[in-house]
Amino acid sequence: MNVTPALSALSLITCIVGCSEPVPDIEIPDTGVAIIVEASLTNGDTDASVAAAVYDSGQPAPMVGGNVLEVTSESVAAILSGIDERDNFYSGQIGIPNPDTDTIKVAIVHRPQETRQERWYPTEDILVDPGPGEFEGFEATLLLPTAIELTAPQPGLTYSSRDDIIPLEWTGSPADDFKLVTYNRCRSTTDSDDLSWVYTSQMDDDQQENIRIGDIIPATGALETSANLGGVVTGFVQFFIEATLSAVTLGLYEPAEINFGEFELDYCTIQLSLVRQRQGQIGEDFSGGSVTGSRSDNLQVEYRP
Amino acid sequence: MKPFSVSTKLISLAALLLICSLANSEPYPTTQSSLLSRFSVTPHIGISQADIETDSAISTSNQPEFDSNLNYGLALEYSAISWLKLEVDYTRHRESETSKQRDIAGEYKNSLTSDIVALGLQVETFQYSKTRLYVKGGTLIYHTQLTVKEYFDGVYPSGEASESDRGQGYYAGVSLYHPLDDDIMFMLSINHQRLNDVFSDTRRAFDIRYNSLMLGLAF
Repeated sequence: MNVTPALSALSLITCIVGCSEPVPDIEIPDTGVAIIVEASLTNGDTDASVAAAVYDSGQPAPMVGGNVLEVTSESVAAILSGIDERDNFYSGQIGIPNPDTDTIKVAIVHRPQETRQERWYPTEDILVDPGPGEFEGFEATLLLPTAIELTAPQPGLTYSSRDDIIPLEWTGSPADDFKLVTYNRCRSTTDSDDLSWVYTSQMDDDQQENIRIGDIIPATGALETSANLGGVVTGFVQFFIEATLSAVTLGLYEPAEINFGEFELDYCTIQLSLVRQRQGQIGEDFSGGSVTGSRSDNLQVEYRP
Repeated sequence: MKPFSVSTKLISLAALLLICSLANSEPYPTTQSSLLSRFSVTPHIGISQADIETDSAISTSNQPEFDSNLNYGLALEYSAISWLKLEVDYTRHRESETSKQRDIAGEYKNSLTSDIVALGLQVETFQYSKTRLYVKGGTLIYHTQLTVKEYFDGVYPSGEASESDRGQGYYAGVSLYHPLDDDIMFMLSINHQRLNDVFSDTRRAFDIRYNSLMLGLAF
């Protein structure tokens, strides 16, 4: 089974700075149809963010012609819409009334009218419908893990040294995986451009961990990341931080090199999330992929040397 | 599709104006030649811009912008009195097209053609030397065809679907006539035609507005 090169880059990109261990690759088989699904519910929210991508024979498979990814939870359904920059990456939101028990299903369905509902002309009369695609009915299901709540530190704290420790404390029962994900944005005293990047680290889900500021924001060395993540990824980080990993794997994240030795740092904001993950079930029609349900909690702190 | 239904109010108004004008005009021509002399035929050609006005209650993110189109047609005019003409005009608006737009179903673009028969009056409002300016207006009936071409990123073959509709509307404009010799006049016209309630039996009915510049020769 081959692994798509873009996906293999995930470990490299996300672990250059202080990963405790590599984030597992998502394997995309080079035969058959594969799906990647991520559903995430942030503490305090009632709507889960869902993102999905389909691959056919290892290549991105766009959903077109009325074929679409639909997410359902109990009696609620929503169509995942596309992101302009990618031709097979879709996202949306769905209400989850009972997060601990509701099953979330993502399926490939044929919806010729709903997918054209934003058009100005009467699509019910004027329609080119190629019919259901060969993947119709393929589905994946997942359950979210137990809720997570960050109980320490207090949000909005400012740290002044890279040796300072962020004492993380949280609640909830362990699931399959647990990660710290931070979205860091630093402003320079000399350069008008911000630097933004994502840091991720797997951790034990034992309700306590100390994180050193310097592990997230190094003083020297080069970090391969994006100088400007752009609206799409930034939006994801704000509302769906775990999906940043998917964004990286799906190619939205274009690496560039930051040399911290040459960067006159003024201050940084650190959007910090703890993400508990639970693996879902890929339907038998799919040949591979990944289905993950996440619950997270986040807070923002500041580093101002 | 609904059958033709011409606005009775506009027809009545036009008829009333015509009767009144005839009543106050010079004696009705008694010979066939003098009657024919009151008629003129004007083939015309020009350029138009089609705009779509959708129902604001319908939420659509992709508003169409059609490119300009060629128009041509033929007008038959009857001079009831020196300052008033009755006209019947046929105009064909050839295909105008949008650029490609994209949504989750794929890429698509629309094209539009319309055939319009207009009935109305022209009232002379200004004269300079032999040049005459008329203001005109009236009712119209239309037959319009909307086409969509859809493209599916090579996953499925692209395709095309069309549907047509008929209805009514109105028009207004100004026409300038300048004699080239005793029998031929040059005509320059600016027209606004409004085609109301296209595909009115659907939930996405819309109006079409054609703004046109036309040149013609009146014989």
